[in-house]
Amino acid sequence: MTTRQTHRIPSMFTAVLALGAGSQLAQVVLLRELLTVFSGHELSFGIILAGWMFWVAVGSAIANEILARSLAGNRSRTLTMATGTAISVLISLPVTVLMLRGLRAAFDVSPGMHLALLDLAWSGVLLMAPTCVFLGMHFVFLASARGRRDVVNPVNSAISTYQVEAAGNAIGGLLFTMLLVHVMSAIHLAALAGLIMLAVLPGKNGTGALAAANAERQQAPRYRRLCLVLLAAVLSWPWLGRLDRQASRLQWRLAAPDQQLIDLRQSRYGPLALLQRDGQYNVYQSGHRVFSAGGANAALALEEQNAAILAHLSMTQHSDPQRVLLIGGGLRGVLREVLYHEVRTIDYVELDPVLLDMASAVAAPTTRAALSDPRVRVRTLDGRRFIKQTDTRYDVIVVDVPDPATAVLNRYYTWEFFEEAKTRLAPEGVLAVNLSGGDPRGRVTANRNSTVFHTLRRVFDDVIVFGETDLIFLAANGSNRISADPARLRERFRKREIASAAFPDAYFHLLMEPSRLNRLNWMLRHHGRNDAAHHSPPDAGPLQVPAPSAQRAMEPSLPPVNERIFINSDFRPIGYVHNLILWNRTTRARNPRRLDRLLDIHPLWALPLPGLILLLALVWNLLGSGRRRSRRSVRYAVCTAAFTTGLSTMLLQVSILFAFQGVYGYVYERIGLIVALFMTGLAMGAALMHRFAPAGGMRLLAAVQLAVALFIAGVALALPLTGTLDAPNLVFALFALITWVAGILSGADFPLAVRCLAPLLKHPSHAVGRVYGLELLGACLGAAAASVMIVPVFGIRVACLLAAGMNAVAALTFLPSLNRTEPL
Amino acid sequence: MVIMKTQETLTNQAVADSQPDRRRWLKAGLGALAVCALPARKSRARAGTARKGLIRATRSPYFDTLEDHAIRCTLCPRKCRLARGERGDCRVRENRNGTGVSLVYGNPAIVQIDPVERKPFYHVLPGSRSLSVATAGCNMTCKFCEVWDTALVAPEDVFAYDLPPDEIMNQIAGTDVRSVAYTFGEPVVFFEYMLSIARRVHDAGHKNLMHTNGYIEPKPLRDLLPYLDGINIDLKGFDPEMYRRISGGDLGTVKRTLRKVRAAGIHVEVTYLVIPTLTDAAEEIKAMSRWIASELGARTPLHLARFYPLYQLANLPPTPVSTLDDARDIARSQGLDYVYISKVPGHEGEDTYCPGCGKIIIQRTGFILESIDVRDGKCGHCGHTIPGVWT
Repeated sequence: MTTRQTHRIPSMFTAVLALGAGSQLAQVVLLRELLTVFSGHELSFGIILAGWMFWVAVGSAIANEILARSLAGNRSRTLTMATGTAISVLISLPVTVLMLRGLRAAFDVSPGMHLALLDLAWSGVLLMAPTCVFLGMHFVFLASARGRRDVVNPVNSAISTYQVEAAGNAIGGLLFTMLLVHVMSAIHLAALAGLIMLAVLPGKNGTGALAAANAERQQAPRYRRLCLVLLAAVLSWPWLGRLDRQASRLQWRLAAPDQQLIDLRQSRYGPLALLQRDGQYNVYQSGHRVFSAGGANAALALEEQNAAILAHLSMTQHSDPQRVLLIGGGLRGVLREVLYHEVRTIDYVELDPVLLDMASAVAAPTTRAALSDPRVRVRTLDGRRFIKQTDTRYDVIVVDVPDPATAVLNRYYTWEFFEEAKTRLAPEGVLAVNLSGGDPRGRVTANRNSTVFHTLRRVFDDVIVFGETDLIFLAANGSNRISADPARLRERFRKREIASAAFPDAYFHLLMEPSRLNRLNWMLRHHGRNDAAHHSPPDAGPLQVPAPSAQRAMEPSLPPVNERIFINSDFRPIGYVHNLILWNRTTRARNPRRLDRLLDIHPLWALPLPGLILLLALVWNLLGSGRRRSRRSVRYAVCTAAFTTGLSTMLLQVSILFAFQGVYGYVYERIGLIVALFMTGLAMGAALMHRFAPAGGMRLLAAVQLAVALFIAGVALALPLTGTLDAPNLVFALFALITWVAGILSGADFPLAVRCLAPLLKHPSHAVGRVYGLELLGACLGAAAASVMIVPVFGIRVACLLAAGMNAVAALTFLPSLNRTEPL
Repeated sequence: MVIMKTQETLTNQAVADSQPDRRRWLKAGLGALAVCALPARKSRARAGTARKGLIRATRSPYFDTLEDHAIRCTLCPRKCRLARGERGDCRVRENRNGTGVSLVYGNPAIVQIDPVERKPFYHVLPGSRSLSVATAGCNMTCKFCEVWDTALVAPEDVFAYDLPPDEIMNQIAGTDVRSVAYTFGEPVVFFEYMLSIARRVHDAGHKNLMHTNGYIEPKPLRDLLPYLDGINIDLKGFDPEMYRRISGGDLGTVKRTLRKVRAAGIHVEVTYLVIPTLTDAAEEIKAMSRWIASELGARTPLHLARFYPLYQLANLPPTPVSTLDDARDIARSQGLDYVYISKVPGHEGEDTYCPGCGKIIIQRTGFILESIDVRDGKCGHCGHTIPGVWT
C-alpha cells in the first residue's frame, strides 16, 4: 500500500532521498574535518558519531514538538519549515567547517601546542550541533509531510521514509567516495549537501499527491527552484573554492603563525600540509607534524641530525650490512645517511605517495640524489604489506614512522609487526625502531616506552634502547647481539670511511654514556611488571646501574610483564592508548589524569548492563498479571531490542573502523564508502522485512536479535584473522561484507520493532519515534564507549563479543513473552 | 596562585591557637622537630635504592609565619601563602601545622655522575666528571620542559633515593668527581638540601655548580653564593610577556639574579633555548646579547640551545640550525666573546675559540671533550685569559 502511495508522490520520495544523501555528505565532511582537528586520533569517530546522533535526536524532538503544537495537519506550513531547515543546513554546514578550521582561535594555546582532548570533544560536538539539529528537524518535517499522504497506515509510511533515507545515505556515501572526494573541497561538499536537499524540495502549495491531479501547475515552480539553486551553485562555486583555501590558510596561520604554507594536498591518509621556515621544511598530516627536513637550501646536514643518528647507530650494529629495508624516514635524511655504508640494496618503503611527491620536491639535493641512487628501490605502499610480500632477508630493517599516535601508526609498534619483521631479518639482522621523547622517568612516558620495549622483547632475544631527544630501540635475535660498546662501533664506523657531516664518530660515546644508557634500559626493562605498574613511575634503579648486558642476564629473575597493559597488539592497540594518555598529559588539559583511568577499566565492568536488562525483564514478568503484564513485557523486550541493536551496531561499526585502520590505514579516504555500505545494508534490510515479513512479529524480532548476536560473535573471530591475510582485495571484500551484513541486520530490526511496538501503544504512530529514539540512544552510547575505551583498551575482539552479548540478552528478554498465551 | 592541598596530616600539633606566645613558640619548635623526625623514620630507605614517594619532610627557615597558622614561602618570587595543610606551586613545600617544610630534603630523584659539559658548563673544569642531584618539583611551568615528568610533579609521583647530604659526600668520596651540580631539575625548590650539600662540598674542596631558572629571592641567593663556584642560568626568553606566557616566570627577577651572581664574582654561564616562533626573533636575541654584554660582561659564555619538540610544544619543529647560526652571529655582533651552540653535536659552535688569537682552545662533540688547550686559565696559543673555573 505504501508503495502504491509512494509512486504517486515522487517529489517527496526525492526529497527524502536527497535528505539521506545530503546528511551523509554532511556527516562524512564533519568526520573528516574533525579527524583533522583531533590530529588523526581515531577516538574522534565515536565522539563525532555520538554527538551526531545526539543532536539529530534533539532536532527530531524539537521538530516533533513544533509539529504537535503549531503545525498539526498543515502540510503547507510543514513544507515551509522543511525549506527553512534545508536553507539552515546550507548555511550552517559550511560555517561549521570554517569554525572547525578556526577552532584554535577560541583557545589560549601557544603555537606548537595541541588542544586538550576534552576541549576538542566538547567544542567539536558543540560546533556540529546546528547542522545536526537542522538535519534532524528536516527528517521529521519530511516524514510528517510524507506520512500525511498515507492516511491508512502512517507507521508504514514512516518505515518507508526510514528506508528511503537510508538509501539516500548509501547514495551519498558512494558518491562521496567514488567521485566527490576527488574533485571537491570540504566547503564545496558542505554546500552541496545543503543544495541537493533544497533543490528537490516539493513546493508548499501541495506538490506530491496534488501533483497527480494538477501536475502541470505544480511542476513549474519546482523546476524554477531547481534552476535557481543550480544557478546559485554555479555562480558561487569558484568563490567557495577560494573560501576553502582561505580557511585552510587560516587554520595553519593559527597553528603555525611564523611558518609559510607552501603546499596543501589531500591524501588517502589525511590532509597534508608543507610549511617552511628559515630553510627548514615541516610536513604535517592531519595537523600532526610528521617530520622536518633541511630543504633544498640547507647547507648543513646537521639539520637532520636525528636521522643520521638513527641510520648510523643501526647500520654499525651489523658487521657487513648489504640489504637494508627502510620504512619511512627517507625524506628526512635517513636514506641518505644509510647510503654512506657500502650497501648493495636499500628498499625504501614510503606509505603515502602524495607525501613522497610533495616532500621530495623540496628535499635537500643530497636526499633527492639518494632517492635516485641505483641501489635504492623506492616503493610506495604500506610497510606492513611490503614485509608480508617480500622474500628478501635484510641485514638491517629501520622503522622510522611517527609515534603510535593513531591506530594507523600503532601498527608499526605491535608484536604482530615485529614478528613479521623478524621473519624478514637475515640471521644476524637488526631491527631499529625510532620513537620520540627523552628520559622516561615519569609514569606516562615510561608506560608508553616500556610497552614498546616489552613488545619488542616478546619477539626478540636482545633489545637495547639508545638516544637522548629520540629513543632508538635496537633488537636482534640471539643474546648479546646488540652492542653498547662505543669504541667498537666507532671503529666499525671509521673502517667504513664514512664522512657524514651530521654524525661525528664521537657521537657513539654520547649515545652510550653509561650513566644515562644503563638507567634508561633499567627503567624500561623493570617497569610494567606488576598489576598496578601503570600507576607508578618507573623504578630509577640502584645508584650504580649495571650495563644493559648485565641487566639482560638478570631478566629471568624478574616478575613477568603485565601483558594486558604492556604488550601492544594490532587488535588491542594499547600502545595507542598510552600515546593518547601521554598526548593528553602534554596538552592544556585541566585534569590530565582523567584519561589514565582508561587503563583500569575491565571488560567485566560491562556485565551490570545486560544483568540489569535481564533483571528488569524478570521484574516485568513477575509483576501484575494477564494482558497488562503481557503487553508490558513485550513492550520492554521490543524497546530493549531497539536499544541493543543501536548499541551493538555502533560497537561493531567502530570496531570495523579501527580494524580497517589497523589493516589498511586509510579510513580517511574510505569512510564514505564504509558508511555507504552500512547504509545500503540498512535500506535493504528494512526493504526485505517490508516485503517478505510485512506482518512482522515478536518471534522474528527475537530471531533477528539472535542472528545479530551470532553474526557479531562470528565477526569477533574473523576480524583479527584479516591481519594475517596477504590479499588486500580479499580483506577489503571481507570488510565490505561484514559492514553490509551488519547494515542488513540492523535495517531488518527497525521495521520489525516498530510493528511489534505500534499495537502496544496508545498512539501507534508514536512507535516509530520511540524505536528510532532508543536506537539512537543505544548507538550514541555505543559509539562513545567503543571508540574512547572499549576498542582501544579491550581490543576489537572483546568489543565485538560485548556487542554480541548485548543482542543475545535482548533476544532472551523475549523468551517469557514467546511462551505466553494471553492476548496482547 | 594555585595552592595544592595535601592529604597528609601530622599527628603532632605544632601550634595551638590559644597558647601564649612563649609556649606557642616552644610547641612550634617541638612540632617542627616532630615534623623532621617522624616521616624520616617512616620512610627510611636504603641509600642505594630508590623508593616511590619517599619524603623526608624537613623544616625550612625560608618561610614567614602569618596569622591563623598560615605561612609564606620566601624562597622564590611566587611567595606562596600556604594555609595549614597546603602545598606551594612548586609541589614540594608545605605548611604542616603552621610550620613550613621542604618535602625533598635528602630525597633526590636524579643522582648521576657524568661529564660537567652535560650540565652544561663549558668553562668549568672541562672534561671532569660531576655528580648531579635533582629532586621533584619546580617553581616554573615551562611548556618545553625537558624533565616535565620529574620536575613538574609532586615528590609522591617519583622514585627517590634516601640520600642525606652526608650520604652525597660518601658517593663522591674516592671517585674522580670534582664537582657537585644541582641540575636536571630546579634546584631553587630543593634549596635547603642544596645548601646543606654545598657547605660540605665546599669544605671538602670540591666545586658547587648550579643550573637554575634563576627564579629566586635575594635572601636565599645571598645565603648560597659563598659556597657557589659556577652558575648556569636559563633565560627562557627576553620578552617579558612571552617569558610569563611560556614559563610562568618573571624576566625581571631572573635578570636581577644574574646581576647579583655576577656582582658576587661567581662564574656565570647563560643558556638560551631558541624556540622556533616563540623565542627566536632576531631582535629579542640581539637585545638579550646586548644586555648580557653590558650587565654581565662580554666574557660571559652564552649557550644557544637547539629546541627539540617536547612536552607541550611537541608539535613545533626543532630549531633550524641556520636559525642558531644567525642567533650566534647576532650575539657575537653584540660583543659577546663566547657564544656556543648547544645540542647540535659536531657543530663548530660547540668549540671554544680564543678571543685573543681566534684559535680553537677547547674542542667538543656534545659533552665529550675532544681536546683542550687552556693552561692555568689562559689560551695555550696566545696566553689570553679565558674566564671560568679551571683548577
